[in-house]
Parts: sequence; C-alpha cells; structure tokens
Amino acid sequence: MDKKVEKISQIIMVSVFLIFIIGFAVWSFLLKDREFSEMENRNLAQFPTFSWRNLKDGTFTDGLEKYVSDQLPFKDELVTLKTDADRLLLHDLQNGVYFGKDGYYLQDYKENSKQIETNVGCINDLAKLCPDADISFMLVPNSISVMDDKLPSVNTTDDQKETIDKVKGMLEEKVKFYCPINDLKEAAKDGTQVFYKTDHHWTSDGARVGFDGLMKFMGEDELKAEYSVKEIPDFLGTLYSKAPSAFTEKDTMKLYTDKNNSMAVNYVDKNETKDTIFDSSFEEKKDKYSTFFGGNFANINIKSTGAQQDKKVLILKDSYANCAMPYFTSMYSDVTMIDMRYYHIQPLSVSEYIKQNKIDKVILLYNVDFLNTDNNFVWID
Amino acid sequence: MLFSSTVFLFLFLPAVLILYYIVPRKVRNLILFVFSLVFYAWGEPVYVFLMIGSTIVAYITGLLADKTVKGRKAWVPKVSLLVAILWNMGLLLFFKYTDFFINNANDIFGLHIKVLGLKLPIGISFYSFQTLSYVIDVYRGDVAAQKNYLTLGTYVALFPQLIAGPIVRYKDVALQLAQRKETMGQFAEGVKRFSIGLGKKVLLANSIGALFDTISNTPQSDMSVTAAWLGIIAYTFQIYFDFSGYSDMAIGLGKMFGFDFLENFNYPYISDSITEFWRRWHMSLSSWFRDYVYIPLGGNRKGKFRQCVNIMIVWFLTGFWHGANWNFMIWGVYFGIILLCEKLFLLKALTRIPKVIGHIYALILIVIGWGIFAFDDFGKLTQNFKNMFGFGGIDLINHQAVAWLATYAVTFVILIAASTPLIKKIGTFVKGGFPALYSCFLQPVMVLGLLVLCTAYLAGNSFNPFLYFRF
Repeated sequence: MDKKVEKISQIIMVSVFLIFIIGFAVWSFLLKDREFSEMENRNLAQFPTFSWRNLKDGTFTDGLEKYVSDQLPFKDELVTLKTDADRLLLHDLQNGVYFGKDGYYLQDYKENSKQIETNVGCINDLAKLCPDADISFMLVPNSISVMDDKLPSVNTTDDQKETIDKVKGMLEEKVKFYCPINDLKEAAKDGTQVFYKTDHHWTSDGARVGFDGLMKFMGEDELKAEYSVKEIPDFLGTLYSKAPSAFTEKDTMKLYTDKNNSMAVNYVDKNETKDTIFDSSFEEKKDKYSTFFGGNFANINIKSTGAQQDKKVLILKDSYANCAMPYFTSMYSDVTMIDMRYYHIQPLSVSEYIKQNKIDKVILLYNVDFLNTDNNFVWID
Repeated sequence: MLFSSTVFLFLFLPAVLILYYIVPRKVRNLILFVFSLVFYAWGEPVYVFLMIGSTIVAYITGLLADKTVKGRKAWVPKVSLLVAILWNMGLLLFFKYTDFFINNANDIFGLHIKVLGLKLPIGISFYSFQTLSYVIDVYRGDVAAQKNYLTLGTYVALFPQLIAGPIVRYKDVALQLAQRKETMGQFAEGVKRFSIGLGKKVLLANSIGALFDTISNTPQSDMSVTAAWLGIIAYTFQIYFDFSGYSDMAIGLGKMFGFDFLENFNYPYISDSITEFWRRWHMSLSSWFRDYVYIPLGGNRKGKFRQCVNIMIVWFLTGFWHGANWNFMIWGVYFGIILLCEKLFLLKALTRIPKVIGHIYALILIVIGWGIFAFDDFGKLTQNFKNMFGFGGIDLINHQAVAWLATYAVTFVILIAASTPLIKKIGTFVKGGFPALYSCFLQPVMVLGLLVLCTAYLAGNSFNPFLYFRF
C-alpha cells in the first residue's frame, strides 16, 4: 500500500476513535442531567457530592461511576441496540422475558412454592377470621400461560396450571375459587386481545372476559351496562422496558366508561374524591397503565349511582384489578379496593374492615405471578 | 477502574489523552504517572500508598543493586537484592496468603486464630513481580538502574498494564520510558487493538460468562452431564476472552502513549499440546517464571532429575500465584505433571499421530484444567467433576441443557471462530485485494461498529467484572 494511503488510513482510524470517546464525553457534559428514567422506571444517579471521607471510602468514585453510566447519552437507544444484537444471536429469553411469536413479550415464570404456600396460608387465615363472609378468589394466569402457543419452542418456563391446581387444593373450602384460564384462552382463540404484547397486565378486554366468567361463577346476573371506549395508542409496557427491541409492536390501551353511571371515587388515605377512575395525566406518559386510578393505592372506595346491584363489595387486589374496575363499578354500588402492598399500618385490619363495614362480598383478585412473588399477604391478618 | 466501563471510556481516557498530547514531551511521564495513580486509587484510595512504597523500595534497592558502581562493597548489591526479594515476596505473602495459611492451620491443628480479612490490593501480584524483576535485572547487569524516580514510578504505575498485566519487564520498556516518539501509525494500531480487546471482553467474555454463572448456580436436581460440560466450556471461553481482551486493551492503550508491550496471548486454543498451550497462554507470566525461577534453579542444566523437580516447583508456584487456594495449586501441579509427561515421552508420541488428535487431546486437558481453576470451593469443584463424568447421579442431558444449547449455539460458533486466526486471515485477505478501501473505510467502520456495540452492551449490562482482578 502506498505511503500516502497508509497515512490517511491512520488519521481516519485515530479520528474515529477520538471523536467517539471525546464526543460522548462532551455530549454528556452538555446534556442536561436526567432525574428520572421512564424507560427504567427509576431515579437516575446524580453527580455525587465530594468530601474527603467520600473519597477515602470509595463512595465518591462509586457515585461518579454510577453517574456517568446512568447519564450516558442515548442510553435507551443503546440498550435497544444490545437487546436486538442479543436477539440476533438467538437469545430469546432476556432479562426474564421471552420474545414470543406475533410480537408478544412473555414474562418467564418460575414457581416459588414457599411464597405460594405462605400467601395462600394468609388467605386461609382471613377466611377463618371472617367465618360469615362470602369470599371468592379469582386467580388470573399470566400471558405466558394463556398465550403459551406464542412461546419459543425451546423454553424452560414453569407451567402455571400446576400452580393454579396447587392453590386450589390448598385453599379453605369456604373460599370459592375461580380461574379464568379457559375463558381467556377461548377468547384469545376467537381473536380478542386478552393480554398486552408489551406489558405484563391483561387488557381491558381480557379483564372483561375474566369479569364475566367470575360473575357467572358466582351466580350473578350478566352485566348489562353500555360503555363508550377511548383508545390510548402507542403503549409500550413494562416487559418492553425489560428488553426493549426496535422491532416492537406498540399496544393500544382501551378505557371503558359506563354511559349511565356516575361515580364518587374516594382515595381514602389522601381524603380526595374524584368522579372518574381515570387519571388522564398518565395518558401521555410511558407508564400508561397508571391511567387507571393513577397507580395503586392502599384503599380506594367507589360509590356508583347507576350500578346494577346495591351491594357492598371489598376487592383485595393487585394491579390486574385496576382495569377491571369499570365493570365492577357498573355491577356493584359500593366497591372498596384494598391493595395489601400499601395497606399496612391502618386503623382497621382487613377482617375488621369486613365486619365493621358490613361487606356483602369479598373478592380476591390476583394474578399468578403476583401470588408467586409478593410478600405483603401477611398484612391481611 | 475497569477499562470496560463508561467512566473509563468517556471520562478518564479522553482526559488523559488530551492532557498527554497537549503538554510538552518533558512532562508527559508526569501526566501518565499522576493519572495512573488516580486510576489505581479509584477503587482503593488507601492501597495506592502501598504501591508508591513498593516503588520507592524498588528505586533504592535498584540503585544499590548495581554491581558496576566503582568503590561499592560486594555485599551491598547482594543485600539490596535480598531486600527487594523479601519486600516483594513478603508483601505478596502477607496480603494474599496470610488468611489462607491461618485458615489451613486452624483446620489442621484445630486452632482458632482470627483471619486478617484484608482486601487484596488490586494488581499486587503483577506489580510485585515487575518491581522484583527490575531489581534482579539490575543486579544481573542486564539493565542500568533508573536514577529518575518519576521514570521508575511511571513504569510501575503505568495504568494500561497496572492491574491485570501483561507483566511488562522494565528492561523491555526502559528505553521507551526515557525517550519515546509517539506516532500516528502506532496510535492507529493502538486504537484497533484496544477496540478488539474491548469487544472480546464486553461482547464475548461477558455474554458467555453469564451462561457459566447460570449453570454453576443451577441446583443439582436440574443439572445434567451435558450442562456440566457446557458450563466448563463456557468458562474456558470466558477466561480466554476476558484475559486476552484485557491484554489487548493494555497493549492498545500502551501504543496510544507510545509504548510497545510484548504480546501476552497467541491463540492458545489452537495448540496441539499442553507445551504449546503454555507457549501461547499468558506468555509474560510463563516467561517470568522461566527467567526468574526455573533458570536460577538450574533449569535443565543439572540433569534430568533436577529438571523434573524444577519444572514441578515452577508449576506449583505458577498455580499458587493465581490465588491463595488449594484448587489453584492443584491446577498448577496438574499442568506441571502433564508438561513433565510431554517432555519425557508424550510430545514425541504426539508428533507421530495426526495433528487433529493432538489438538483434541490438548483441548480436553485444557478444559479439565479450567474445571479445576474455576471453583475455589472444593465441594463445588468435586461435584462439578462428578457431574462431568457421570458420577453425579444425573441425566446425560435434560430439557434445561437443550434450552441452553439452543440459546447459545450461535454464540459458541462465534467464540470458536474468534479463538482462531480465522478473522485475522480474512482481514489480511481483503486488505490484499483492496488495500485502500480496507484501510481507509472498512476497518474504521468496523472499529466504530465495535465501539458502538460495546457501549451498547455496557449500557445494558451492570454485570461486568474482570476475572483477573482477583489475582
């Protein structure tokens, strides 16, 4: 190769490198620091405070490292690049999420028998504490179980059906157990999208399938309410955030509003009352599922004037219940939702709450993954 | 600080490069020295004084070990050499091995001596060997003593090679330390080497390391013979790409500052014998032991029997150097025995059979070697070998093993290809056909692609430890 070309090639190589590392350094210096990452759903590290003590024990340098990597320019795009590069290498299980067929992200499931036993034990204890209460339990399987036909052929996920049978077998007889797995499977086969492709929740339509099944199971009348629907497009959920791929199909979220119902939604702890279960401020944010109620709260009471039945219902729940509330509130005139993750040091225990408020019906609504991992059930008793 | 971290790539390296090249030549060593201390002090601010202390000892003993100084009494160089040996070996023994000896004494004699619980100073195994070799070389008259403390300090602290080698010997870089001329060609070469090293570490070693981690944490009930082998083969690749990647980055960074370090790896997994493997693996360590232990012990000059003893001593020490644990000693002795056998008869036999059989033989022994090396918990080590050879009461293969095979099949193909000179050969071939296109376009694009991809993996990975940091 002639000398001149060689010289030029060297200059190109060195320039590429220097522009890359210095460019990143300067760019991240100029870029305003972010406080919160919607993608990762967490606060980002800020520039560490300097002191000699921090320097000596290494917390300053540690903090600086976290700061630089958290505030890295194009971080979300870079993580997306990594995800897709790994997919190219056929890593279809990343960060606990499978890349399923038809654009479905499916959250890996590994049964934690101990947690299940503890949690079911807590539910049984509640049933014993309230011998007169009418208690039903709807356990919702996750997408990996309902949509198991979308799973990659080689996978090592556990079968949720085994967990469901196990739970059923362990429950006290007076807790009426219902699992909508077959209804959901059938609806999915008929073309209803019952789970989001990018989020771990069921869709509003999936929740309707579950709700209808539950009503039938409990011997209630069919829901007669009429709904208007609002669609929120471009939803990229939590499973997407775990393994963001550039080829992801976005979801559309549906908000159902009963045309003939008016509600008083009372956030008990905050002492705040609204006339809708939707918090529209989340519609434009990444965390769109929080449009339902603005997230999860210890205790929310909803009184409806146009409900089908005049009944007091308590729902012990996780976030799967949030998108089913349009149906529950159309059915029952007084619905209380208690989320045990936040209902800790309260004046009334759950059993006391049931007795003092003369609750007609107690419904537990949890998804399998939640029952398998959450450790707040002990607060029930 | 790790080379494969955003703080190094986008804060430390730009800063040191810019400062280094804008200051006059006279102060460049000072810049390197100061930044190297910052680099070292990053994770362990206190131990930096230990390293400075070691350098001072090397500086003084080095000056006094010079036998050529007129009027110097004959005992002075001898004593200063002894001081250097005692200091370096004492430091290493104290920080690295005290707890090991205490634990074993407690176990054997039923004592209850408290362990010191000291954190191992990063890179101490490397810089102790380097400063010691410097004093020995001065004593032997192979190199002149360094009269400038800063120059010697720069040599010891030089951040590219400080914490995980290669073990750069003073005599190899003495001239470059005093007077070097950085060139564009060398810098460009350094960029390529560094990027390749970064890619080896971030893209290859970390990915396959995740598989090894998963498998070694899998409960016995889910294990299979296939998985046990898969795990240890994963480790085989992880440690190679981790360590050789680090050496590539060190050599590349050295070039950016005008240094030429000796090579440390030369495609070890294409070896046809264990003798060849050790000529290709961690070359700076094996040659250190050869020059400063094996040959002083008499090497092969004192008869076959003494040679065999010497080989075993060297390999026992090589193993022990890697860590204060029985498994490392066993690992060293294991290779010592194989190398002895090869020296005595096996190597001759290997030349008579097809090369491919020698290659398979070497690979199996290498993988088994890593099986010893990978577990410092003796229970885990024996369990893993039981699993590998079907004594673990487990299936030959199970569903989980199939899933791992399917997920990592492509990765393994890439790892195998990257362990051979194949990619280099393709590069040379293309360069031969289209020299200008290759050098001015293809190669820079590939380097940029590597850097972007590595940054992406760094952004997506919190998991990023260097294996060789422990040593």
